[in-house]
Amino acid sequence: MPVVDCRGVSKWYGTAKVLDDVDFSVNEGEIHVLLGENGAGKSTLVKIVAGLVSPDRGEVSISGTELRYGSVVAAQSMGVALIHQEPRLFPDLTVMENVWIDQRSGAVGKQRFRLSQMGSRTKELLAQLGSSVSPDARVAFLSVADQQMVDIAAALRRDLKVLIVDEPTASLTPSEVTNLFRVMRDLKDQGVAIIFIGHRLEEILEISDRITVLRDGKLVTTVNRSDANEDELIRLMIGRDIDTGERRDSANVGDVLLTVANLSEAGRFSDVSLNVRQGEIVGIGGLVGAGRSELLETIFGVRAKSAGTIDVGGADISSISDAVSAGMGLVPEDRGRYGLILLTSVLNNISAPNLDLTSWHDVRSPRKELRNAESIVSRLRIKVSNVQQLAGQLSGGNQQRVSLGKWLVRDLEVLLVDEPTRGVDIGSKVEIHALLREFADSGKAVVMVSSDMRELLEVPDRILIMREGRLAGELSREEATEEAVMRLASGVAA
Amino acid sequence: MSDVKGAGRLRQIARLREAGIAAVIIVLIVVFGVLNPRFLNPDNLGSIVLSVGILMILAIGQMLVIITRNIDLSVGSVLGLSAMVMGMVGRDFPQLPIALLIVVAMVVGGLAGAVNGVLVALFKIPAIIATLGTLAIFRGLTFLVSNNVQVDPEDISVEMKNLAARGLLGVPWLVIFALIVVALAWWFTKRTMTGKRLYAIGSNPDAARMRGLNVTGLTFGVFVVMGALAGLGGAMYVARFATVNPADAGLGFELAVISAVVIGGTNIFGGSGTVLGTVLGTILVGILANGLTVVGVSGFWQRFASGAIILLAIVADSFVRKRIETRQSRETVVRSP
Amino acid sequence: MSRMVMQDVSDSVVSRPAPWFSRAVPYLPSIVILIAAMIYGTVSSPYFLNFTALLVNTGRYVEIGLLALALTVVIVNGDIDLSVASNLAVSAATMGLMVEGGVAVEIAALAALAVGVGLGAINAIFIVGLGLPSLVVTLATLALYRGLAQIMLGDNAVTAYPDEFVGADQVSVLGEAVRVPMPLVMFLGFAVLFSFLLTRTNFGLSCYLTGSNQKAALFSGIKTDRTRATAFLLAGLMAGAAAVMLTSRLGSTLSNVGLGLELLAITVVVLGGTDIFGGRGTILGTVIALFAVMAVRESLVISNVNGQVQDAVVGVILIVAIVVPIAVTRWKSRAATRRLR
Repeated sequence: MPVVDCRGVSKWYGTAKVLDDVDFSVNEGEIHVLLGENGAGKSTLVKIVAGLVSPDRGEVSISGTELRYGSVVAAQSMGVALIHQEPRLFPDLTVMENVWIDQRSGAVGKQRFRLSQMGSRTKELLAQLGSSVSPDARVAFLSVADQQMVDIAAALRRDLKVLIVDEPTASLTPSEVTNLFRVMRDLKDQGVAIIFIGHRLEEILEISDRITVLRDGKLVTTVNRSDANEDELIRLMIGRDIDTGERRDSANVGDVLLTVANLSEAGRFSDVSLNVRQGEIVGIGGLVGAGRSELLETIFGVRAKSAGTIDVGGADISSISDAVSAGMGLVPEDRGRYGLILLTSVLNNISAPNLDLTSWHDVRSPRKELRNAESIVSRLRIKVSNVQQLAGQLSGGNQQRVSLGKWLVRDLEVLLVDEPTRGVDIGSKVEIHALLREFADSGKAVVMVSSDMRELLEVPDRILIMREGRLAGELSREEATEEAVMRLASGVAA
Repeated sequence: MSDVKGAGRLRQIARLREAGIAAVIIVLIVVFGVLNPRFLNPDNLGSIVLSVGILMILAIGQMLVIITRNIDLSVGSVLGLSAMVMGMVGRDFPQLPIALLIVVAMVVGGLAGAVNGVLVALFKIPAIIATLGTLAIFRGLTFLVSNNVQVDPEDISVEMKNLAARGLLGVPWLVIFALIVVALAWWFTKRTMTGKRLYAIGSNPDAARMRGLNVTGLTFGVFVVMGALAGLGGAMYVARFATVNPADAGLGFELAVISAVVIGGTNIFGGSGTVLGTVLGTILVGILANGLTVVGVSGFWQRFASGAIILLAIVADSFVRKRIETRQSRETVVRSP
Repeated sequence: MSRMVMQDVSDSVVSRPAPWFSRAVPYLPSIVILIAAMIYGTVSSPYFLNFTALLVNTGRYVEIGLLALALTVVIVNGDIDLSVASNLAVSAATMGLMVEGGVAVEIAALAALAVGVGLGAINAIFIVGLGLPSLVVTLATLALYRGLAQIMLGDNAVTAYPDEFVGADQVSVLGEAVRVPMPLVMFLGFAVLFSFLLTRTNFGLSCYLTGSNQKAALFSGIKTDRTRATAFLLAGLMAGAAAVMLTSRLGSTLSNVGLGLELLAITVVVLGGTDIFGGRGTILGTVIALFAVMAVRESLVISNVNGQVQDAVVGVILIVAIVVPIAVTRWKSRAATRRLR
């Protein structure tokens, strides 16, 4: 009998049907991967299993007991735990308090907070996960990987039957991913049923036992790992064939557009020099925490530099307005927080950086703004009902297109992109790569930070690697291999 | 690599903070004492202790509310309403024991708190707006129930007035009540799971919901407790001032209470705050108000000074926090992969 | 203040352009209250619907209205300014002391505006410059500025204003036939100006974007610091303007002038549909809400209800105005899903 059993589950959000009659099950001691483009319904399905969302139709049972609608508490008491990409913890509390906060009276001494007992038990749980975080540490000061372990420890504290991990690896370093997978395999051997959501196919094929593909809220198929291959999975996910892994021709490189000399930001990165030429896409690789995003944000003037110079076409950059008027644009990594204003319209999002072009003495021109927005929407094939739609209502891929497109209204010289395709469906990914290429080919320059190895190897003309806040080396397109990148990024000698 | 990472660093800030307030308190006492020795005479110190006592009862409640990422602006009106109701009940039924009268005040306060709780926890109205509304509503209710007639000193029983004058071993009951509230709050925030859950709610409300914490119930509860404490404060107000005027009982109290809590280091955005800090913050506010008057600085400077002190407290706070953050970020970069 | 982002709807929801009646929804509470109060007032007293008296009475609400206009901008930005009424008191005190010292009233009025802007700038320095939360900073300056006014005036009242300055609210713009009081005209002028500012200028869009998501606005090249600071300067300017109007109406200045007006002004803004967490709000809403609050207060005055009880009624209205839409939305979304099943 499966541990998780969903029968005929459907869910609407407003008028949109996000899950359509889905049958899905997970067995004891199995790692079951949910695969699908953004908006396919994966997250909604796992939220239903975790009791966070109630289905409009259908039933969910855990170990044979039916789950009451939308009750987190009920799901938790049945042993279901959901781990998010960004751990949902309490930054002001200690590790131990985070682990025990939902302890209901009864088990470990009613209301009383038995410090010694909880402390040692927390330590045991963390040790089981290979983590040496102190139970008294404040969660605010932990890395994302450590926080995930705290989150899992909190789940283990209860009788864990079903562990759901929703895109956990995006913000982890490779060694942290390895450790997470080891933990998942351990738990699987103990009989825990694991549901894993991910976008990186290599990872998925490595860790999974079975794979279920969702598309547009419908279940496409469930296959065993032994029967699956990458191309087939991609085809199932997007419902059509697609070219991946194509390498482009070398660029016609022109004059230098962006010169960064000895740039430092105290405590973040130091002494970074680079230049980018017309027609070039320069990739920046490295581990999370190496200072790549900070470098990009400093070049764009968001963060204050402590030393060095940034020069775009003769203009010295020290603030965002300098950067924008010199013809730079930044597409930040976290589009929900920095890239877009989700609670306002697509139109306003596109207008925001371009007010200097559309207004007359600070008085806006709605007509010009509308024209710009509509031309970008059609040029980037952004799926919206109209430009007044809230940006937050778009799918991940379409949001990313808006975040990128708002800069294309301007006559940009240098585009800075940070993880341009994270959390984006494969169709959008290919189109965004083509867009960056097209932009560079028109005589502009692109600087791209990416942790997606395949993207890093395929899209840029050359790759700079950062390690611990410094440039560790440069790889030409011919030299660039996964191994070479990892070696520079982690500082391991050849 | 991750051993004892970040352990106790926030606690360190809190300690530093508390030591800082304690130092300011000592400096103030010395300065006021030198400028006017009368500041240090027992009568005056007693008067400080009484006003600090009332303030502290409310500040403890406000701290709990702010920890959950809420705020209660209506505390002064709730104090006024419960003092008025208690005063009237005491006047009309002089045979009732004062213990019962105190219960009446706390029940009235608790009910008012429950109204705030329903609006904030159930209807999800931002606390600052909901309590801005009830601030006016409870003040208006005070007028309606009293018919705009004040409770006079002769209508308040001697036993009631004695709460602010006599007690155990020379410590007035008013102060003992305040100390009991402080002790309970200390135990509650440090030693109980429910206490920790209040911090959790303020620290990350979404996570609290996902972990199955009863956010609605706890938020409601904390407002009820705040109301009941404001009610107790109302009873103590009657004991101390021996009169209740609908127009000015507790008027503007919210400002002093919030000042005390913020000065005490409670994060206005929830998630952190200590009982010790709040106690020290309250003492600072109380000494300052009294000291300025005694030293002969006109009463008009008091408001100015309390505003200046809140500003000083938050500016100092933000500098400490920023320094800790930069140090923290350096460590992140140095961390080996 | 933080806000939950609507994650659940990120999976493509279809939307059509909003029809006029749904765009009018934010104004509904104040319109309903306005009409209800007018009916109540008319029923309870034959004098209520005396148009002339009604217009003349707008004078005292204009001060609240001026503060509310500027607060709308501040709140749309995602900030709050609790210190406006105290700022008003300092501005009024400055003006009073200058007039007492023999300075011409016009110069003193300009000085009041300057002081208002200056105190707004102090708020801006702490909030934008040092990055401190506006709620706490302006709670502190609420006390600080009021204290300053008390230090300046003590228990004295300034009454040395020239006759031609006093009673501007009695001046009629269109002559004696239709008495349209000057303050009302000025208020409506300011309202049009603020509305233009919010809807038709880069500054206005910057306010909405900053209030929706300050970081994202910054990353889009919006000068969020300048936008927020400007809003606090505007609040200071309007506090100064309100001080001049109030002084002219009362003909005297006390240190407790305008005490508690910030609560009324914020009530008006929120009642007018402005989101207290920023990003949404209109001047039209604020104007309608001001008239609604005025109608309520006046209808209570005419039935001899005490001042504090009037405030309480406004408090009830504020809460009902927020609760009813929330309840209706919940009920509607529940009904909508039921229909789909």
